Amino acid sequence: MPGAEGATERRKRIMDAFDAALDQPPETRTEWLEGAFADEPDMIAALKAMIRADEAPTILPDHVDPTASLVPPERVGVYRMVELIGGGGMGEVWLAERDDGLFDHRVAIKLMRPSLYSPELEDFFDRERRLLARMRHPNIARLFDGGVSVEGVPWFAMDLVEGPPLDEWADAAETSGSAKQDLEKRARIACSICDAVHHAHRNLIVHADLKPQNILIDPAGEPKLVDFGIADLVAAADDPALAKRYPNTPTYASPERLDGGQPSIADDIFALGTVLHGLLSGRWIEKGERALSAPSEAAADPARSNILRGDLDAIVARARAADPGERYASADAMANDLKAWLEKRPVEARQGGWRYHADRFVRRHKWLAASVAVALIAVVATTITISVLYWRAERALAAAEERFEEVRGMARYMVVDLYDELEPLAGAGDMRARVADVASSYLERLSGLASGDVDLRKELAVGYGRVGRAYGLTATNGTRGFEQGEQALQRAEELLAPMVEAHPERHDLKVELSRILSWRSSIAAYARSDVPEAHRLLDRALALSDAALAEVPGDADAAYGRWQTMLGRLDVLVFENRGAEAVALAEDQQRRAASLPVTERYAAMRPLMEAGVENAWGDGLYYLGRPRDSLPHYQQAYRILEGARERRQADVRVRTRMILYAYAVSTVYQDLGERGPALEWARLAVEDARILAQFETSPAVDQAMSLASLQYATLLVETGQAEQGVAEARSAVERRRQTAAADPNSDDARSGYLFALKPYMQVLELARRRDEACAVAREADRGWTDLYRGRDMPTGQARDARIMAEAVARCGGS
Amino acid sequence: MAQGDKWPERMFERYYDDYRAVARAVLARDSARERIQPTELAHEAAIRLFKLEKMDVSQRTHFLSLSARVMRQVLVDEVRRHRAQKRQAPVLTEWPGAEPEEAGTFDLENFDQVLSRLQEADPERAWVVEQRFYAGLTLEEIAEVSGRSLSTVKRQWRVARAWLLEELSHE
Repeated sequence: MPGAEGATERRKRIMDAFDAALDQPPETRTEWLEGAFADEPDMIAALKAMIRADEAPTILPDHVDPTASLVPPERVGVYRMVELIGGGGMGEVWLAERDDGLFDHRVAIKLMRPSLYSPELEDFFDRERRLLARMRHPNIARLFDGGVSVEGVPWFAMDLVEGPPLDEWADAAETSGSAKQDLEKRARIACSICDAVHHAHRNLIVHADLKPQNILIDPAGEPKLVDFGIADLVAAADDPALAKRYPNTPTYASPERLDGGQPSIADDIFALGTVLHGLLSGRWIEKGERALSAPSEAAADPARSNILRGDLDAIVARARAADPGERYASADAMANDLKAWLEKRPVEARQGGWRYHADRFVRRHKWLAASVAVALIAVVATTITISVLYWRAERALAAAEERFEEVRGMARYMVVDLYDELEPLAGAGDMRARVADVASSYLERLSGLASGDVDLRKELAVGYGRVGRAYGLTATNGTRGFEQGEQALQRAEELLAPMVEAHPERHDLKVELSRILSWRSSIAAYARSDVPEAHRLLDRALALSDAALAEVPGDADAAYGRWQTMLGRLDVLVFENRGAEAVALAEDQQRRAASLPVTERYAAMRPLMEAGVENAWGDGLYYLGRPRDSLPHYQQAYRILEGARERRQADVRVRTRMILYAYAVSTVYQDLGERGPALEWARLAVEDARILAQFETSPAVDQAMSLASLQYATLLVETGQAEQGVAEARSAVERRRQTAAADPNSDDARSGYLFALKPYMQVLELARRRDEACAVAREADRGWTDLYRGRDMPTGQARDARIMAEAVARCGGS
Repeated sequence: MAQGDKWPERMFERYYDDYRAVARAVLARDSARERIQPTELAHEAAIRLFKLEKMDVSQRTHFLSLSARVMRQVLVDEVRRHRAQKRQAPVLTEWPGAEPEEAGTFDLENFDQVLSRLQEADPERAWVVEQRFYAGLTLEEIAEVSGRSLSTVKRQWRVARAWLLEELSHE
C-alpha cells in the first residue's frame, strides 16, 4: 500500500525496485518499470531519476575477483571431521573425533556459514564462549570449544548427544501404560527442559531458537538442549557491522519476536509453551501456524484430552500468552507449575492469584522502564541540580526570597522535556522509540531473573525516586508538582527504610536511600525553603553513604552517592548565603576527588560533578563579595567540561552546563566592569548554545540559549554596539515566542516568553530606544494579566509582572 | 602497534582525540580550497597515528573498515566546529574517486544527513557507502571485509550511489 508507507519504507522500496530494474537489460529498463509500477507514477519518476543518476559518469571499479566457495575443513582445532550428521540454515553439524592422541573424545562440531575472520568477531567469540562455559547443567549439551578454522570457518565443539530430537522421540514413544503415566513422563521431561532454560537465563543467556529439533533425548531418556547461545554467535558472525539478526525459526518464535523484537526470556518462555503443547498433545505446530487450540482439543485420544483439560491447558496458555507480561516470569515458574501438577498441588496458572503476579510484573516492568529511561534521558534532572541555575537568579535579582521562585521557574523549563517523556511512558510505554528499545531490551533480559521481594521493592523505590525527582523539577503552577514529587520520594523512602533495617548487609539499599534523601533535601530547600529540614535530610543521607562506604570501602555507587550528597549540601549552603562554609566544603570535596574510584559507569558523571564543585566554590566566593576570586573557579568548571566535551561530543548535559558556566564568567566580568572579557565569554556561551541547538532542541537548551543571548545582547549594547545588541536580543525573544506559539496550551512556554521580554526591554532601555521598550513592557503586562486571569500568580511571575507594570506606568500608560 | 591483528572498537575510542587533531589539521589546511576528501583524511589519520604503511594489506583493510564510523563522526563534528568558527562557510567534498568535473561537489554536512536517511532505510547499503566514502575502501576490499560476494557489494554500491546522487541533487 504505497499510500500508507512512511518515508523510510518508501526509500527502501525505491532502492529495492531500482535493484530489480538493474536486472533488466539497459535498453528495456524504462519500459519494464513503466509496466511494473503502472499505477504509481511517482515511483516511476523516482526510478527514472535514479537511472539518470546511475548513468552519471563516475568511477566504478568493474574488474571481478572470483569468489572462492569454501569447502568444509577436514579438521578444526584438535578435532578431525568424521561424518556429516546434520545440516541447517546456519551451517552443518559434523561428528568429529579428537585426534591429538591424548584421549578419545567424540564431539559434535557445528560449522557456521563461512564468514570472514575479523578481530572484532573473535573478540565476540571469546566473550560469548566464556559466558557459555559458565553453563553447567545436566540437561544442556555443553559448548566447550570453538574458534575459526584456518579456512576462515567459525566452528563450535559441543557434547555429542546420541539420540533423537524431541518430536521424533515423542512420536515414536510407545504409550506403554496409561495415558496418565505417559503424560506424567512427558511433563517430567518438560520440567527438565524448563530447568535447563532457567539455568541459562540465570547466566544471562537466552536460547532464542528453542524448538523440538534443538532438544535431544539421550539414551537414558533425559532431554539435552543443544545450540544454546549459538543464536547470538550466528547473529554476530553474520554481520558484526550491522544490527543483529537472528536465525529465523518463526514457528516457535513469540509474536513480539516476529515483530522484529530482540530475543528475550519472555520469548524463550513462549517457545517453551509451544514445545510443551506439542509434547503433551502429540500434535506439533506447523510452519505458518500461529494460533493453537488448547492441547486438550488438539489431542486425538479422548483419554489424553480429559487429563489435559484444566491445569495443563492453563500452563500452556500462560506460557503462550500474547502479552509477554502475562507469561510466566521465568522458566523456573513454569517448571514449578508442571511440578505442582505432577504432585497434584494447585497450579498457579489457574489461580486467580496469578493475575496479581502478572500485574505486579507488568507494573514493575513499567516502573523499571521509567527509571531506566529517566536515567538515560534525564539530560538535566539528575545531574544539573537546581543550584546551577539559581546563582543566575541570584546574580540577576540579588534577593534570596525572589531567588527561589526564579530558580523554580527555570528548573521547570529545564526538565519539561523530561516530563514529556515520562507521561506517555507511564501510560502506554510509548516513549521516544530508541530509548524505549534500549531500556526494554535490558529489562526483558533481566525480567524474571530478579526474584524475591527485596529486589522488587528496591526497583520500585528506584522508580519512585526517579519519578519523584522528575515531578519535583517539573512543578508548574503552585506547589502541586513539588508535592507530587515529594510524595513519590516519600513512597520510595517508605519502601527502602524498612529494608535497610531488615537487611543491614545490603549496602546497595543504603546507597539508594541516601540518594532519595538527597533529592528530598533539594525539594525541602527550594520548594519549601525549609533549610533546616534540608540539612537534616542531608545528614541522614550522608550517614547512610558513610555506613555503606565503611562496609564496602571501594564501592563506586556509595562513593559517588556521597559526593552527590555533598554537592547537595554545597547547593543548600550557597542558597543560605553561607559562602564561607560552602568554600571550605568545596575545597574539601575537591581534595577528596582524587580518591574517588575510577569506573566506567561514572566516567560521564565525574567531570560534571567536579565542575559542579568548582562552580559551587565560585558561587561561595562570589557571595562572600569576592567576585575576582570566584573567576578562576568558574573558568575551571568550564575547562573541566571542555575536556569532557572532547571525549563525549554528544553529551547534552556537558554542553548545557558549559553554556551556563561561560555565562557565569561573563556576568562576573560584567560586575567587575571588564566589558571586553565579559563580551568574549558571552560570545563563547552564545556560540556553544548555537552548536548545541543544531542537534538538540529542548526547553533546557532553549533556556540556556536565551540566557546567553540576552547577556550577550546587553554587553553589546554596553560596549556601544547597540544595533547588534538589539538584534541579538530580539532573535532570542523570537525563539521563545515560537516555542510558545508551537504549544499554545502550555503555561510554561507562555511564561517563558513573557519572562524573556523583561531582559529584552532592559536591552532596549539600555540602547535608549524608549518607545520600543515601552511597547515590549505593555505586551508583557498584558500577557501576564491574560495568562493568570482569575488565578493566583506564582511569586516569580508576580514579581516579573509587577516590574513590567511599573515600566508601563513610567512609560505613561498605554 | 605490534598487535596489528587486534583492533577492538575501544582502540578507536581511545584515539578519538588524536583523530580529531588530524581532522582539524586537514580541515584547516584544506579550508583554502574549501573542499576535502574524507578518504584522504582517513588515510592520513591512519598513517600518522598507526603507521598504516607498515601494516600488511589485510590488516590495513580491516583497520580502515573498523575506523569508518569513527572517521565519519569525527569529520562531521569537526566540520560543524569549523563552520561555527568560519561563520557558516560550508565544507565541500567530492564523490570518492571522481574527477571534479564528473560528479560534482556537495556540502559534506548535507551528504552526512542524506547518508543518515539511507542508513535508516537500508543499513546494509549505507554501510557499503560508509566504507567506501569514509574509509576509502575499494569495493573488493569491502567484499572481503564483509564476507559478502563482490557482485552483491557492487550492486549495493550502485543502487546506493544512484539514490544518493539523486537525493543530493535536490539538496
